[in-house]
Amino acid sequence: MRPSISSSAASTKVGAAVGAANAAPPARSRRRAPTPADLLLLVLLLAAVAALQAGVARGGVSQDLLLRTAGGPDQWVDARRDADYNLTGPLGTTVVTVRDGDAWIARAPCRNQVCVRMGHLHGTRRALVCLPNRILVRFASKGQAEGPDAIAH
Amino acid sequence: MPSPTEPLPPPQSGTIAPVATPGAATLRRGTALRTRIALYAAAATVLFVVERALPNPVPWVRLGLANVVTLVALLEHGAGPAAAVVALRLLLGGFFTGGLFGPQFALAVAGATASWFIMTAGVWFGGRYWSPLGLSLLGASAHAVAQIAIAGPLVAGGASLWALLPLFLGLSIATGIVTGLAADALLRRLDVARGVPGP
Repeated sequence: MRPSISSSAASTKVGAAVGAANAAPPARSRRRAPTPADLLLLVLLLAAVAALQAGVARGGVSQDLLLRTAGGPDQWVDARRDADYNLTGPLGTTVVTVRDGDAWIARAPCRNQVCVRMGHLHGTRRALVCLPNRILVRFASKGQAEGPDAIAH
Repeated sequence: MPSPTEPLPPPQSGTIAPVATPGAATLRRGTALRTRIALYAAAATVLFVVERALPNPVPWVRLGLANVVTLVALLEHGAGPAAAVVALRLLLGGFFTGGLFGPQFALAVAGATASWFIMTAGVWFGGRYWSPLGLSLLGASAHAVAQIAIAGPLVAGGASLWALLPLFLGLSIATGIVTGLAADALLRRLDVARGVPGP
């Protein structure tokens, strides 16, 4: 995609300029946009944005899963470890399953089973809540668990 | 005895004709370079202030037109003069927008410093591969990262804002393309005005 205008008439001038540039490299870039390196950089940056976005959607840096029940103290578990957790509430035992960084409620003693149908949790945006059994499951950093995240009954 | 018209030709042929404009090589130091820096800084300040005054659909996101001037100064005169232009633009811009030494000023300083640093590194280590577009992309990305890094402790009360990085980085890619193409076009015009054959 080289412009053909300069190749015939001004080739000697261009050649001389290139020779001078090679003799004493100028401080400025003389390439015409976009160069292959420009496009490579653009692709890399877009890939970085996509990867970062995926990381943020997955919960960013936090892999700490908060399990909160009405009666007991908050429990923190590592979401990178696959396990089942039994949480006891007023109605009975709710089972939270953690697999491959995802968390979901596998079994619940409540009648409507809304919390089971809430599906998988894999990010900070949502929380799994079982109101009848008074249970909350969400990803959060340990420092920021307090505050406006208490369960409203 | 010289005729009254004799003193006139030297200024005409010496300073006004575009062919005889001193090139970058003769502008390394001295009054001519300082004048150039002052003009670049004035242009950058005007762009900075006008951009602030424009209505803005997305808060905090601006085109960064002043970076066009930084890039041109960097490629025309080198890292030192570009740093001088950036510093003058930050001070004057902060002065005219009323935010001198405030939190917004700190954000602008962080962004502009990071941008200057990485664009200078880009010229030094990859100057023959990148056009102004690539350098502008580098600078805009560094600007976004630096501002996110400093905005958390400075403006958001210590909360980490890294979750916003993908959004800001994506927007800075878009603005970096615009300012990079603008700088590319401007540099080509400067070449034409100077009579230098293009690449």
